Amino acid sequence: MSISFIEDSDGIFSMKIQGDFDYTLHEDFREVMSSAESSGLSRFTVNMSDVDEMDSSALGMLLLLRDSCGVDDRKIEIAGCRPEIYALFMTANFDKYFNFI
Amino acid sequence: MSPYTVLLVDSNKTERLAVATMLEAASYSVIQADDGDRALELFVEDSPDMVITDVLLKGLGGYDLVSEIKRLSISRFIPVLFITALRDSDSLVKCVSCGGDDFMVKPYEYDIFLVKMVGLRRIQAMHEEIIDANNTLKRHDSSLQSELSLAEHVYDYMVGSGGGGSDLVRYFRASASRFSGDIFLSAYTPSGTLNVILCDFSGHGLYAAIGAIPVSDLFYAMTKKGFHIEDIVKEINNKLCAIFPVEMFCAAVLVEVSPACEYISIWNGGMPDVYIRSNERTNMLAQSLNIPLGVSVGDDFNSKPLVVKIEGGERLYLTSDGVLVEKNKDGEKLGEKGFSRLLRTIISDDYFGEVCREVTSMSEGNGHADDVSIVEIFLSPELFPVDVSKANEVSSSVPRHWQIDMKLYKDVFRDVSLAPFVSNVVNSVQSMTGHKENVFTVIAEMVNNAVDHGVLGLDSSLKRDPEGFAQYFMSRDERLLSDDDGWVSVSIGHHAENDQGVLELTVEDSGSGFDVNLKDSDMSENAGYCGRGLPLIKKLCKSLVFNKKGNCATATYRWDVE
Repeated sequence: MSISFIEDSDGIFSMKIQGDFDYTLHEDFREVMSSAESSGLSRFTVNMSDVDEMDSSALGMLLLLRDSCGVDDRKIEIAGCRPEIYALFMTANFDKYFNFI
Repeated sequence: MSPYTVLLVDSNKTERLAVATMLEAASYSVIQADDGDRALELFVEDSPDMVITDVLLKGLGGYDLVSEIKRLSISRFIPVLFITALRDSDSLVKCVSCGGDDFMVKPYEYDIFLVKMVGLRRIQAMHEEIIDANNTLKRHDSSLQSELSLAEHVYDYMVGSGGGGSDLVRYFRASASRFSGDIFLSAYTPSGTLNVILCDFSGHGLYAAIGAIPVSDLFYAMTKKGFHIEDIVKEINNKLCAIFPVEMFCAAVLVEVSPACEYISIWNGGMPDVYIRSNERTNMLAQSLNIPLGVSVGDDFNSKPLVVKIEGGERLYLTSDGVLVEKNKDGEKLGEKGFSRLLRTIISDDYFGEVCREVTSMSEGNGHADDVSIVEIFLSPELFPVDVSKANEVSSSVPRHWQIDMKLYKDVFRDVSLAPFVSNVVNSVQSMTGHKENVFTVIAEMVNNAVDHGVLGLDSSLKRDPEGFAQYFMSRDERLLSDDDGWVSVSIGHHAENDQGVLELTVEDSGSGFDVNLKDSDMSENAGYCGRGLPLIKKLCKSLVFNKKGNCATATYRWDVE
């Protein structure tokens, strides 16, 4: 389980999450968020193609990310979700909060 | 700070003095012993920080001395350094195997001697850090345990027996951790409507326990006051958004069952599909169409439930997503499809029991990844309680003299359910022990008639079949939104008369009324939102009178003072 991130030249912050996206990533996630915030970035891409399992804490963390970006819709892109993972977003009807690619 | 003390044990006086001088020059404080027995005594009495000893000693030998020293120093790490003339590997190996930490072979250089001591002191310091950290951890764990006990106590009280509210509801639960993240509650409104909630907080354990407090508080209090699940959903959502951090939310499914089991309302925000079973066939009824509670109070939050007409005798199944993540021995999850298949294929006299067994047997005792909750609601009209009045009020009531008049325009009843609103106004002025529920029913019927048929002009004959039923509620929503000056005026008077309280309730609406000369049988078609219609009011009230136009009704309710 890990989060890695890079900041690209267009000012978009890319995060990649691997393994299980759950409560254990809580601290790391917050750290990543605060380093992004201190760089003044407000657009994110979250790469979830290597995510095995996701739970409600993960949805909570993404809400936190969305909140810190300013709650303007779709400033966060979520990429590469497996159908199972995407279904979890759909059950919570969070499709309106994130841009899924 | 007290000086670092070294116990120096050497039976050769000259050598011992030489080493002692060297150590003292290096600022160590030295305790000397020339035989093993004395050394042991001094070790116990003076608690030195380090021991330096020869192997060959008078009295107790070096190896035995060190074994004993190590046996005695359990809580603290005291480094032991052997100084010896022996060079054979067996003797040197024994220096460490008996418990010593290092050795120096004579002749030695003082620089090396001192530096070995530094190395040992470093390890000693590290050891002490670990013990400190461990003790802090133990203290924290202990206070965490007592906090968890407190939270558990509060949780149990707030949530209570959960499903204890009704015979129609069965609840199965298998917890993943100490607290269930799932909360299940059920209770009746004064008019006999059954409200049920099953919710699942994001995160585990303590989050759920804390979340249980506002959720159960609001659910029970509002149900007791006769509110619909739509209102309850709105209030819980407001509360959770206000008090909890952004990342904490609560997936929930609420079901409202009308007293005669004529219809049910379902609100599903983030929970798995709700299933309905009738005539041995199970079908999906209500998917999650809403965002969970505690996420947003904006326009993206919708509190309107799905309303479904039912026949009576069906069974509803609610689950939390712990059911869907149950894994079989091959590590495959049950999932929505798997659970749906399970529901459709099980045949048993004890259907609910069998479903629960199948789900839990999957993990075969390996524990559950998440809390598993399964609720069955049996929509049986026969099992509904006839009289929901509870002996809550201890004191008997005194009928007082009062009059309250209010006029409420459409924008009020667009957002607020009028029946509990009016009922609460009445209850705050006048308690009527044993009659609160009947009065609520009368108020509800009259006010809802006024809104639905009077102001909104809806035709209740639509509610006779399932499609018409859905259409009825859709029309209702549409018409509520339109921008006209519809109003409902409620006038309530009360006074005492011969050991009775007399309540007079007049409800007038801005609609065009109806034909008051209709026969009684036609009037019974004029069923209000609660479904039992004007005949019920007539049964409960001393009198029910309409004006000529049909848009104003006055009901008189008499009650005996106990």
